Amino acid sequence: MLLKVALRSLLNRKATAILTVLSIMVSGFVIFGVEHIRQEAKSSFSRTVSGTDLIVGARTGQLNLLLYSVFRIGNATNNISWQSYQDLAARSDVAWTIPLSLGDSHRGYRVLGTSQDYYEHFRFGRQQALELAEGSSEMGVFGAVLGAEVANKLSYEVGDPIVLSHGTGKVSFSNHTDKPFEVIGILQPTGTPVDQTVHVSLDGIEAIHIDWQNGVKMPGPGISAEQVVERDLTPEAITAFMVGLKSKIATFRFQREVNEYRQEPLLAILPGVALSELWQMMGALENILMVISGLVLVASLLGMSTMLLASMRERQRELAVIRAVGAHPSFVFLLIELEALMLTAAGIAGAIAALWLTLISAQDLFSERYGLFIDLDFMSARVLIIIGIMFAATAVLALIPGLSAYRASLNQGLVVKT
Amino acid sequence: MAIDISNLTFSYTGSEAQSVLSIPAWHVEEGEHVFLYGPSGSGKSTLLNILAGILKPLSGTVELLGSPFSALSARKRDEFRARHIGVVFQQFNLVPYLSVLDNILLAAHFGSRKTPEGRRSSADVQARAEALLARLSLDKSLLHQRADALSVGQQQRVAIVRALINDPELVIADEPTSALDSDARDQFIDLLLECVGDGKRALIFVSHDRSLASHFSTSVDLQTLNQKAHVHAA
Repeated sequence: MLLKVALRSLLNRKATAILTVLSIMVSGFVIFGVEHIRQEAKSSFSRTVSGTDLIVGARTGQLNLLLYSVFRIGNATNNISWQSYQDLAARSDVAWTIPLSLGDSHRGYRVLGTSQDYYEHFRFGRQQALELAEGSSEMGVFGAVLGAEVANKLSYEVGDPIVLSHGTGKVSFSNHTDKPFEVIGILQPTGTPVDQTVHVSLDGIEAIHIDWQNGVKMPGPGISAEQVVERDLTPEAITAFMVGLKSKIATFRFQREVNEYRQEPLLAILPGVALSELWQMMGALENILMVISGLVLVASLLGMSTMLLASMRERQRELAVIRAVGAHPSFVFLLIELEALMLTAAGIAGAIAALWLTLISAQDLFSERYGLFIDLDFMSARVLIIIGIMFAATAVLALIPGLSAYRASLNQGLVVKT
Repeated sequence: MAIDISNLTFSYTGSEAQSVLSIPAWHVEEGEHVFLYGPSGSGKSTLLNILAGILKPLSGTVELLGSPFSALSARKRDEFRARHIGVVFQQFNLVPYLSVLDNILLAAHFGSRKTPEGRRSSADVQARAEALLARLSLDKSLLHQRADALSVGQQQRVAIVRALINDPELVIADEPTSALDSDARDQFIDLLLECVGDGKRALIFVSHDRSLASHFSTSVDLQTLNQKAHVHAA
């Protein structure tokens, strides 16, 4: 009976009830969204690279190197010469290296020039190795191995020809049309930026740029794809490289060696340290967002409380009727509390639905723009705790109109003076 | 005896000197239909709230149906009111956003006994409500309409159904006809008296309109009953 009266009462004040629900919905949306995205960003960040002891690139900021080498965000300002790479890779502490050569793209997806060591040594998540979904990973000169998302979004299959573009824009005006690549393999999804990468060999990168200089194709017929294979395709420089050491103990020694390398200014970073630095930067932002969304919630619950309190005046007669048929003032109190909780419940339900829809539509955007892989399932334990807190806060704030109604119906009597 | 008041005083401030109600003695027999003449300032609202158990007397006792009503706890008085007292106001008798049936079920909800045999199903309540509606010449299709969709006259008659749904021993009607025109007024009183019936059910009909007294066997002037009436009015 209480439930029915509360529901009918709210439906009777549809306009105010809907506005209140909307305001709670917005605050719930913000809170759940911030909470979910920070969880996902954290796990997405930490799973992008594992098992790599150091990342080496031209001297730049620690975060910049991490972002372009791992997340394929931004661009390198400088390269590492092939000699330096060979020299450092040959050091006795080094177990393996993965060269990374960036700068080209295919229809908005970054192209990564690398070696076969990539498939052997690269690890993500919990030390997981890359696996092929189909085809092979023997890239040769003009073979391309696609990340799962690239293949899926662009509907490529093994055997399809693809043309790489110079530069990293989504639309490029300078394409390497004269030297097409062939899709030779497609990787299993990893939930990391690998999914959005087109992998080719360093030879391939060198081959398509052999008749280019300073980012512009030289005039003339150029060197054909058949001829280029015959040439020496050892690159002059690479963008960065990942290092696996024989012993973790050597990490700091090798890092210092790189940072003090005399031939050219280089920087070696520990991916874990750089990731946590990146995370701390996000952390401050995320705490601010949490505080703001908490305040938004308080504001909307206060609004609800105000709405219920303001309605008490017009509801005096109705409450007198409920009292007259034998209700104790506690029934009136519970009625107001229940109305408040129902508004919050509706708001939370709306927020969950809205967030879910938003995540579905924004999932691609996040992964393409920021390399973040957002899971649709946001009902984590923390979100459930937040929902609990929202209900508790509602019950507390509804005490204001609830107790006012309780006292009014206790003292006022059956005859409402008009 | 339906109502037995002795040495009742009441004051909103809790001080004897500022009491607004002082009734040395008043009795209403079971089955008696009393017209209580109460112009404004006579302490009418206060007396009704005491009879309904909302207010507690400062001193003296109110016995209803043989139970020491004024000595009960607030919660017990609420339960007593729900089971034994039907109330009809001058207007706004119903919760506007509930259907007529839900209004009646609400009264039945509070009036139902805690024992399993005493609790009636909503189908029982509905059957009884339909019977009462028929006696008040209201169509039973009204049951599913929102209360505020009814005309004032219909609402007042539904209020009778609501007041009688728990078969109370005492019915209090507070100016129930003041919102009706004169033809509807007489008709309403006739219907009310008919539905309240003869039996054991007592009716207190309060009004400031003396012309209605002719419908009732007993007529009492609250101004003579309440020794503080003139003080308050002045």
